[in-house]
Amino acid sequence: MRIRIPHIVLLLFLSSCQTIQFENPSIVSDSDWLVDGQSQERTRAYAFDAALPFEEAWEYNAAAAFGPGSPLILEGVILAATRKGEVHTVELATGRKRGFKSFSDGIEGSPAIDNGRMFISSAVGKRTLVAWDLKRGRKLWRYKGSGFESGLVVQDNMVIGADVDAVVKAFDQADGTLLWTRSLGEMSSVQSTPLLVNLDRLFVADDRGNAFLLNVHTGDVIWESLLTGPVYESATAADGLVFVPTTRGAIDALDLHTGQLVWTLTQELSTLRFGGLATDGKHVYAGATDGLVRAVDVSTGEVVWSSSFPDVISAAPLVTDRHIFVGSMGKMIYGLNRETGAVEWDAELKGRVKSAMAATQNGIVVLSEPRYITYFTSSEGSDVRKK
Amino acid sequence: MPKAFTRILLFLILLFPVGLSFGQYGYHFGRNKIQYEDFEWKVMKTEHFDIYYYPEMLELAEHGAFFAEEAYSELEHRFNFSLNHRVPLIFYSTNLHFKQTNVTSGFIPDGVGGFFEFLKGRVVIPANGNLSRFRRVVRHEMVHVFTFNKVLRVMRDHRQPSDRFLPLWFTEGLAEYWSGEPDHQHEMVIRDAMFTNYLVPLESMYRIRGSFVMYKQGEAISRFISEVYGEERILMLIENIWKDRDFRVVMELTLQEDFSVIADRWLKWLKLQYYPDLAEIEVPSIIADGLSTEGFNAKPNYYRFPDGTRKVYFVGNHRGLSNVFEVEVGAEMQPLSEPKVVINGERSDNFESFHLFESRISVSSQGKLAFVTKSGGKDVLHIYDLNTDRLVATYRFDDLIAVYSPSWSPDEERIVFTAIKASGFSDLFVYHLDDGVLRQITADTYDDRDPSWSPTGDLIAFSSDRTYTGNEGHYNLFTYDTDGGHIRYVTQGARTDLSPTWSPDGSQLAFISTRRDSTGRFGAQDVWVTDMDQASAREPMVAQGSANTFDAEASWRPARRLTSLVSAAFDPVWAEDNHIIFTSFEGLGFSIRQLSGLDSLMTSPKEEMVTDVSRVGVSWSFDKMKLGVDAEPAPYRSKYKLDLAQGAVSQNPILGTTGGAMLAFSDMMGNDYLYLTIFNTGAGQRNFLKDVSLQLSRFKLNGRANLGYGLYRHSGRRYDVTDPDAPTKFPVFFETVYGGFGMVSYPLSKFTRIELTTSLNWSRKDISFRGVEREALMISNYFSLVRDNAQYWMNGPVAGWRASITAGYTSDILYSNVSYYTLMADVRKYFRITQGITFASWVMGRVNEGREARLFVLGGSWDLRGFNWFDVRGQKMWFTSHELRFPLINAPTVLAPILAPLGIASLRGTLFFDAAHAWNTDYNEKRQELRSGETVGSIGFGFRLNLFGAFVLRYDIGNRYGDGFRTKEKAFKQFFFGWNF
Repeated sequence: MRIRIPHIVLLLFLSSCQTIQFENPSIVSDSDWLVDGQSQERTRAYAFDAALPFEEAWEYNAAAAFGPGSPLILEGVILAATRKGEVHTVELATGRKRGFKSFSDGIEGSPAIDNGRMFISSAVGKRTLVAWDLKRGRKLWRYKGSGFESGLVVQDNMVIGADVDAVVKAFDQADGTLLWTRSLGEMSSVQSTPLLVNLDRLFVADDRGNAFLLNVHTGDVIWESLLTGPVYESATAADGLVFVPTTRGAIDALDLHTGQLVWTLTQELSTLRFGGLATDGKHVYAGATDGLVRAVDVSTGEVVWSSSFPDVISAAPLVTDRHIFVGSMGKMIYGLNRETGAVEWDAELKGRVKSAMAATQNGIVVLSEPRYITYFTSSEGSDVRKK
Repeated sequence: MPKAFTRILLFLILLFPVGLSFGQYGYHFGRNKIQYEDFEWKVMKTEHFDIYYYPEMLELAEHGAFFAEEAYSELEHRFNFSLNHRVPLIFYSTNLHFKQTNVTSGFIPDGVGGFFEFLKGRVVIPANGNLSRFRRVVRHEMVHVFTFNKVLRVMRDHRQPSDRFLPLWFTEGLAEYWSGEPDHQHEMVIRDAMFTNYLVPLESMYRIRGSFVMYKQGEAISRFISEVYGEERILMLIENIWKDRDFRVVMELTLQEDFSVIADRWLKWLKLQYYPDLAEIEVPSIIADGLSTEGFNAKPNYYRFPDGTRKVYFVGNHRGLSNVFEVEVGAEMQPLSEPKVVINGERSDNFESFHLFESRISVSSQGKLAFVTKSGGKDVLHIYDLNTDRLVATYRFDDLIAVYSPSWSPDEERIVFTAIKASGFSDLFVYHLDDGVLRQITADTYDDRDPSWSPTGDLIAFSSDRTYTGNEGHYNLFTYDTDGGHIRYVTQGARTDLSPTWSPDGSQLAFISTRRDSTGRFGAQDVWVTDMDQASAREPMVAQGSANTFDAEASWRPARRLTSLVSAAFDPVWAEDNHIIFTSFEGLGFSIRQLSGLDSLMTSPKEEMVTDVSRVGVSWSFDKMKLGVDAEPAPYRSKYKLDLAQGAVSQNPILGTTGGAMLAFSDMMGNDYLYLTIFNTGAGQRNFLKDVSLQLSRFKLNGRANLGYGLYRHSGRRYDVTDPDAPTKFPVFFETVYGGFGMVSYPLSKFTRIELTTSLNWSRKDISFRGVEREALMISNYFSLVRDNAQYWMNGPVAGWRASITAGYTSDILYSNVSYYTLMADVRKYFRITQGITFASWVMGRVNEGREARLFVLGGSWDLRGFNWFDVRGQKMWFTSHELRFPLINAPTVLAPILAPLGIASLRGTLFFDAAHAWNTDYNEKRQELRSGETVGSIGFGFRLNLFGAFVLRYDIGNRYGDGFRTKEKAFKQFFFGWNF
């Protein structure tokens, strides 16, 4: 076959798509989501006041489904990692594909961005942790070891992850040097994304129901505490407390300084699993397998309000100024009144919502089965191109 | 005959290049799956389910709907998952109704509790009298629904092909584990496996694929994972399935240990639980003499003839078919003879099948044996005179679907038994033989079973889950007062008390019991005896169907445990005063044994227990999901849904390239099938329309008679060695056919059916090699009578017989080009010489006589071996084949486990003799190109290898003969696949 100019153009076009590159990835703004849940306390709270109802602005086909973490946002571009092992970049304003890159066999936790670098962990494969230079669009280093089912923490030029063998590993962001490791125990695994609290403390909980607070610089254990059940979903922290959802029908609140249990919200049904948490500092918000979304007082553990839905809710909620957004396994997204839990808006999706959301000043980014990124924006004052 | 097979065969017939009728080539064997009932299906819609039921079982369906929603709610937590579609749940009120379902094409054996079908996601469940069991089965199947959808979702999430699934032992074990606490059957199997040392290691679970042991071991593995690694790891195993094709690797990744370590840990976990019991257990084969230990034996009873002869009767399955056996015993109940068949089961319409493990038999004092068999769509009650060896009566009851465990009254005028109506609840009935009156003595939702009439005639003891803990699956014993109709507790507590039987003097009841120990596990099922000599008026009374009423005064009843068995005893029966005959389960076998020395066992029992039967809790009932006051259930409407869409392209050196597609549709109940096939044999674009063939056909299976009809157009080149017009050497010609067909298959019984087929078509044939053009408008009508009671094993039939006779007439009603009649007879008999050796004989004759009569063909691995397909042709022929089939290696995977992954299930040998003679007009007129006019045949030996329990590979070596076996033509080796004839 003769190579012709259109072929070359096509090849160039395709090759340009198969990378992830940003102009100034080191310059970040408040509206960027650089880590799962925007903050490393995983509060999933974002200050915006866009009015409901929302409308679907666009929908993007990412070719595979998503893990439980939230998408990231940088320079007006959404970054979403898929269970096929790809990271897709999509322009927020238009929903157009900016690029994508295949990294591994399956990405469960959200990538993390720091210092112009993106760190991508994967559950299995030959490259379970990859550092990517966002400016140059090339790989910096990779780590081969046990897989990561959860997301990453980035701090002080380190990237830290807890793997499926319950070993916490800290790497130098620049060259991948393993700085320290901390094994949390035999036959345990970390499924829940660790939190960074007070800038120098790392909170990790494992699937045997053990919680640890580590020194982020050394990996030393500051305290260890036994929870009321295994932890598989995202915890959150606020006001000196860390809130941990378990798979045995409980949310535990621990004192971050001592590891002491401050309160436990326990449900009668021991098989009930709480989904990922979000907090605005006043309440902790959680969905669960019983289809209830609960707002829990952070200081007492009392349920302030609850709202019932027909299907399982495992994805972490998103908290905004006036609303709580939750996605369900019933292919629905709901906007609840933050004070009362009353449903003020809902929309049907093409599949289940199992991932946390991200927010912009004018809307929310929802990841859903089987492979869609959907951007919902307020029908008032939107500047994005509607579908 | 399996209806699916009918469908497939008819479809293949349609694909067969249609020249004339298909009746002469289309006869086939197989038993009949019969729609005895014309179910009036309704649909009840709940939040997550479409419940299919018939009006007679509305109450049961409402319970089932509640159980399904209850299970759904619970499994959402366990799977962390919601289903995004409605699940069709098809309920049947009894097993006998369930056996008629068309959702699956195969026969459903006894013991199948329900199934989940992947194609339409249908769940099919029978109730059969026990609500707790029904609830458990609903949960079991719902676990399958969630597992299937979760796995599908996991694979799609990771963009992996959905061509892998969890191993069966895991999915079935998980379904058992998540459907409730381990029941006494689970403990029976695991205890037996542990103590008689056949527990299958984790790495070899594939060896017991599909077996009852697999279910129970799988359940134990799920429990082990939960207790040792954490309950959540079970879900993780499902969610990690995408990580590797090998489930052992998935287990290693999820449980974070080497597979060998997991396997060892599981074994130790089991040993820790069960080995402490070793010091106390008794092995049945050591403590109790065996009366029948070959195969499966159950439900014994005893009779002493007037001449003093003593015999034990029981239901057994020694060689694949269930029968009633007898074994003569001495004064000490020692066996004096080998078991002998008294009544042959599973061969005739009257004794279609025994409920081997479900229905007791009863012998009256005058030697009348009462027993139950399935016959047609219902169970029937038989009375057999043991003194005259004669069946004296068979009773069919219009309203009773299933009947179990008859028991004679002492005056022999009445029989009490358990029966299930179309409503699906199990109650007690008394049949008065003198006036033919049937009286229902219990009528509620409880499961009343194993009635036993007292020697004094005033009480009927039975087992029932009406006890206050019955909603947890427990059974206690009760008596029914035949005078006042009162029901009273005999035993009480969180136990499973089954199979009561009176001592000859009526002072005691022997029964089987098991209960949970301090760990929550059931123990062994042991033989117990309880005193019954206190006045019945002192017993607390149970009001039927509502709250219990009690005497204020305590009512203490002693009971003694006589055995400490490894795993389980069943169905005790007194044999005179000092012996109890029972069924024992040991080493995966069910044997009839006798326990002697009752006096000393009663004096020094293994355990004594005194319970206050007045201190019982209140009655229970399960919730129901009501339709609503004004809601009307929707009638079921048949809607087609696509089952299969398939395309195919083939290349043939004679016919060239052929391309086609097939679409198959069916309704929710599997009663209505629609097939559309289109294919093209055109060599070029110009011939595209000319060479298009298509068929549209419909098959309705919802009635007793199966109906089929369709229209077709076939056009293209054909290669047909049976066509009398075609050149013998190269029988290729072009033909266009337009036509339609109709067929009716009406089963007279499970074993016998009649078939009628008719077809009308217009045909234009162009045989260019011979310059022949021929048009015809042909009508063909065929009638067949088919009988088949053959019993299958790995490689084909091993016992019984099958036969078919067919008569038909084919005629060209427009041009009179074709006019001939057809007669065919085919008989195959299988003599089972020993357990493993069968001699099979096959005799067949065929005649086509008249103008343009088609040729019959023989040759190939399936009939006349040593000859190629279609080598022997003629308008008339006879054929006979005889085979001695014997085992070469039984269970080869046990001897060489390395063969197991290759699927090698059986290796057998055969010695064969085949002979045939084909002719047209003159019996002896030789035509070499047709091999007609001479007797030809072959003699040799062969091997049969069964793979995966499904595919049979055949390899034959022999010599072929011609000219009446006077000429040895050549040696041959032939390899093919397929069942033995």
